Amino acid sequence: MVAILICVTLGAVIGLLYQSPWLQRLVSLIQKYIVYLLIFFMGVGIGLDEQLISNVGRIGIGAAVFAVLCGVLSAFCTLAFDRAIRRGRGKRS
Amino acid sequence: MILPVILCLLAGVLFGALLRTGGLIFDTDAVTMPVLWVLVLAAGIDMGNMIRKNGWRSLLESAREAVSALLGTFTGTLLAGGLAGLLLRMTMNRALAVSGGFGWYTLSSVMLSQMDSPELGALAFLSNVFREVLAFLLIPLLAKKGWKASCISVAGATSMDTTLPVVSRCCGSETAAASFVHGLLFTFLVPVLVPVLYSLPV
Repeated sequence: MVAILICVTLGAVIGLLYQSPWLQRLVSLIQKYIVYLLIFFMGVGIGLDEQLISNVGRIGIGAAVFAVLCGVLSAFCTLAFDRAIRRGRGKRS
Repeated sequence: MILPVILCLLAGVLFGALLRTGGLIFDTDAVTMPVLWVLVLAAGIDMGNMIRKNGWRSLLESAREAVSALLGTFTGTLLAGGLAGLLLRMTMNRALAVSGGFGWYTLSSVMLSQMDSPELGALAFLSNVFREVLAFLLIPLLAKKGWKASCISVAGATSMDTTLPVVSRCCGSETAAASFVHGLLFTFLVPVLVPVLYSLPV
């Protein structure tokens, strides 16, 4: 977590102090392509984890129920809160 | 973006399985962590550029997204935990504790293995891994609909690290700032929430 905090702070400082078209192009390229590398290696980690793969059959359905419900309900609750906050702001202004 | 995400993930799982069956040892963390650092650094530069361009007020504007995402993630995840508990006939405290990992699979699985059983730890691990995978798939779809705050909440605690680059790419740097704050807060909350939820008398 410390490394992540350092990276994001360092990045924000670089972005605040230095702005150039080539840097923006580089950031855009990194975000466009390297993100796939991250997802690929996340998959490699899953494929390599013998315990995880062997547990998929036994507790996979339960885990999938948890994951789907958590993801979907979080998204919808957030949407509801977001709309309520926007409506509240609209009334005040 | 969704198709390349699925293809990359499947290719990775297949490659990992091939390495495992071939008896080859490969430390994915040694590669994943530097890649993640570069991506987070890039997201940080994007945020810095956004502040330089639009001023500090732009950060305040992303606060609404952060607040909605925080409330939505908390409520939605606990509701989901309760519902999953009913569907899978689990005691409510165990189900809530599993969902209370908010996507942080390494920590919640270790905590629940110690507090309850390796079985519940494995369920927490797998469900939170699935949540992260689901986030990679859902973020591009939700961003297309314009539901930027929902993109953050799907990711849970991972919105400050692994899913941050995807949020930044699909929703822009304002949402990335909100995503980082959201993930950071949940990273502090999970170690407290999992034991609290597990000890609930329900």
